[in-house]
Amino acid sequence: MNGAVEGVVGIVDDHPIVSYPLADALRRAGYRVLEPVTAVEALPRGHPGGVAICDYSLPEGRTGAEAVAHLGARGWRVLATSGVAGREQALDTIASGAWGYVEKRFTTHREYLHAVGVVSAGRHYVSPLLAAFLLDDAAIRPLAGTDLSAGQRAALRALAEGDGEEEVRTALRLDPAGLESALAGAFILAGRRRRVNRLSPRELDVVAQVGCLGLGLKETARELGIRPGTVADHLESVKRKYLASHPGEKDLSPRAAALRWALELRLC
Amino acid sequence: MEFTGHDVETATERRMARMIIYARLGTTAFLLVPLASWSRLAAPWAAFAAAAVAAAEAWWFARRAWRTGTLHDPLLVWTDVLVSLVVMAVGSRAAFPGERNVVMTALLPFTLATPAVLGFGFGWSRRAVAAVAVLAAVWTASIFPNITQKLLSDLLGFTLWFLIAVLISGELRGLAGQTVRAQRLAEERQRLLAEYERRQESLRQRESAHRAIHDDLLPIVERVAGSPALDRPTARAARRAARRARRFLTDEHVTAFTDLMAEVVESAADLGLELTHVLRIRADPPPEIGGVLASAAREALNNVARHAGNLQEVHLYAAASDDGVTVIVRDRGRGLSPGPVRHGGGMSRSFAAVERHGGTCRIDSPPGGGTKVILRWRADPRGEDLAGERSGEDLAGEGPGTRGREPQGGPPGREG
Repeated sequence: MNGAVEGVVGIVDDHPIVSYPLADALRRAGYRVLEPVTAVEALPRGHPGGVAICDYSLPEGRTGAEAVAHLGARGWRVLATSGVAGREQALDTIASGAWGYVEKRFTTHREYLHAVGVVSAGRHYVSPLLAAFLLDDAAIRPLAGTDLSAGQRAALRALAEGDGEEEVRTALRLDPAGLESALAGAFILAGRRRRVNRLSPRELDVVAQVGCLGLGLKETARELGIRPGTVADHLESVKRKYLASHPGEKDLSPRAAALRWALELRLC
Repeated sequence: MEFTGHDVETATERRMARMIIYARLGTTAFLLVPLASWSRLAAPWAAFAAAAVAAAEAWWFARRAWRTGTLHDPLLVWTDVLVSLVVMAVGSRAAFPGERNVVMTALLPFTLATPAVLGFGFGWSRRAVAAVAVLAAVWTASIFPNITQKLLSDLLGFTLWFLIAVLISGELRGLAGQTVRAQRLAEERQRLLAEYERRQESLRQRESAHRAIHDDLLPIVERVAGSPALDRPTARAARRAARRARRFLTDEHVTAFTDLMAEVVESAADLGLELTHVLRIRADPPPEIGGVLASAAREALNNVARHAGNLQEVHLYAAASDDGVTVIVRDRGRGLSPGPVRHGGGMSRSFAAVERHGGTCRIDSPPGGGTKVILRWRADPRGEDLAGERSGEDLAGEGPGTRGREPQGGPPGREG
């Protein structure tokens, strides 16, 4: 790629010792790299096909998944990156529209170069770790109905094991478009898993009554004009969604889940 | 003063008991009225006896109810009923038959308190209704033959005092119950809020520590760890420090097997390999199995360092669940001969140990080049070979409904 202008790359990272060497490596590879910035708000609007490498944890302005969504809305294909983000944070960036996720590394920029090449070509980049994250997410939050297909699972499993894209395509007899479609579908499902665990407007009403005001089933039902049994159903759903969206949380009562949602969503 | 839910109900009972005590003591005074007409009575000592019995019972009633704080006391209630009947029967004898209405009017307040006792003590129950009926009947008999229209008023009084007592006690007890429920809700809410605040405070403290490590400490440690000028022990110590810092930042749950595999990852850096890794450890294998698999993986990495040529990219994948373990070492170097491991080769000792423990070792040459060393151990050797199935669930378990431990991965020398 040396000498050939492949596209525009923006870098958002609060660590100059990471961003500047990375910018140099990308320039050497032929990319036009904008001056690294430390906040997503400082990056100009995206160029067509431009890739923004965005650190997950940013001390200024928007951060995390919100930063990724902001860049995506401004026309960038976002490649999220972090050295410390766990599965939930990494998948939050995917659900917010990131095209891939790269772990930060100090000793080499090879994966960044490869990932930027993949994303600038309009494909999704799935690192071995991201493949494992996607598989585990499907196990933790299985979607009712359509979830990862056997082919998608096989592709992600092979990528997690370290196989390259060509090897995966060969093993699964897929053309490049077929593999891209499978991986893009896995990204969409990761986003859907997070959306289905958002509270509905009625559940938010119940959470506000039960969590903030401490009302019982009958009082809540009277306030909302519904049956106490329906309130109980909503509370069960509220609890299920809380546990599903907070992996590692132990079982808790529906009332406790309502209160936690209320506090987390600042409803009180 | 803070009341528990139990206290509220007890206090309500006590207040109801005191209301009745005041009524019982107050109405006893009416029995002294007939004594003022001592000379005009047919049997003045009967009036005195009725007043004395009533006063003694009222005193005993007050002391007992005050002490116990409740009217749910059958002895108390039945004694009061009995004394009322005695007062009616004996007191009525004090007057001449044609003047019994006059004397009984003075006794009426005392006897009307008894239906109230029944209402508060027994509530709406058969025994209470029966007792009220008996009181009314004995009252009618006692007043005979001086029956007038006032009798209807007296009997209505017995009925209404009972019904009013039932209703008032029901209202008060219901109010106490509601207060208790409200207190429980408030207590639960208070507890949850306190728990939430504790968690928030803990999160704030962690966030502060995270920020310091993430922003200031880890980048420097990573740079030190990646410096080629460092001697091996110092570089290893720096890598270990960076790993510990990352674990703190990611709240990584570390098991013994995770630690073991992390050491294997560390060893790759010593060998000069550029290793990426994915660890999906849900459940540790038995320690001896974990040990031999880690040794074999380490040996495979040694082999990569010796034979894989200049291209030193290696990927380590380890998945462990209750079903078993899969460890894969994948390089893209020169490669080895594919097929089952030949005993007598460089890796034979550690691989043989895996096989001795019921595991399998295999070397593949993937179409993309390089070598893929696959180590497997199944908890149940008769079970399905889940680990290697490309089309289905695997040992790391993407099976629906199972909870997974977060994969830990990434290359050494990465930064936050």
